Amino acid sequence: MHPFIVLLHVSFLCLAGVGILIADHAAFNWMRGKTRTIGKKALFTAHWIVTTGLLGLIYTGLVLFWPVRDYLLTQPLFLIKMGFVAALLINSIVIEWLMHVAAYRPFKSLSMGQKAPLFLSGAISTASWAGAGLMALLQFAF
Amino acid sequence: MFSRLLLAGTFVVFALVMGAAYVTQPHSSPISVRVSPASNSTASVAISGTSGTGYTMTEVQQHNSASSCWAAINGNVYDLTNWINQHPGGQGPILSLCGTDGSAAFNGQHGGQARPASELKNFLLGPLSS
Repeated sequence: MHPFIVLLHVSFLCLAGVGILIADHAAFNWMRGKTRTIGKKALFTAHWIVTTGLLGLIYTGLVLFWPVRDYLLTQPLFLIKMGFVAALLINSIVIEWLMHVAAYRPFKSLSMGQKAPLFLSGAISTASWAGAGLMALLQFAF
Repeated sequence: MFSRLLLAGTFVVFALVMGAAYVTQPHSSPISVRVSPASNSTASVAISGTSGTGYTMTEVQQHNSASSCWAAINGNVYDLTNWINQHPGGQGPILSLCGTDGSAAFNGQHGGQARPASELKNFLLGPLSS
């Protein structure tokens, strides 16, 4: 049971990683003006892949967490990782609000005030994925 | 809209599980990890070291690999082989204890915590004889 859940957990991480690559590739092309807008279908596909990966990671993570919760709650690295996970979840909801603009407006046409939340959300997303991954690695190593 | 609800719902589940885990977390108690062999039936049954009264450090040192990992902790000897792959903190910390007296490492990491002490009891072989 335990190794299967771990495998599933890692599989969801890979799925989220693939979704992030697709989303980032489309987003960078849009920001650099290589594509005027991002097709709605492509936008939602990438978002759903990342969302499925994230949700899968969280639910399999909760299954892994529960039997050893007393131990993990005493581990600072784990608590920091959970902080990043919470940030990712909240940011995912925010991203869904923000991403629609890419489907009908070129990046260049956005004002600085409209670009700022996109940059902020992207930065939070990057920092949280990297942070959670790093904490998981450190937790495993030490 | 659906994925927004799904994400918000997951956030609530996540927060509830973490909150429940925190609330039901046993308070750290100053219990000792040491299991008195005289008062512990498991230990009494398990004693089978070559000395007959427990396990020597020399015996512990012979089990210094992932395939047979014994460690002396606070006066008792534990067979941690099956715990290597289950340790929530990864294999490294357990592997580093194989064949050694891991009292300092264990107490430094888990001293005063009820759960690790209770987990450890499951792997008790017997007392460490001098």
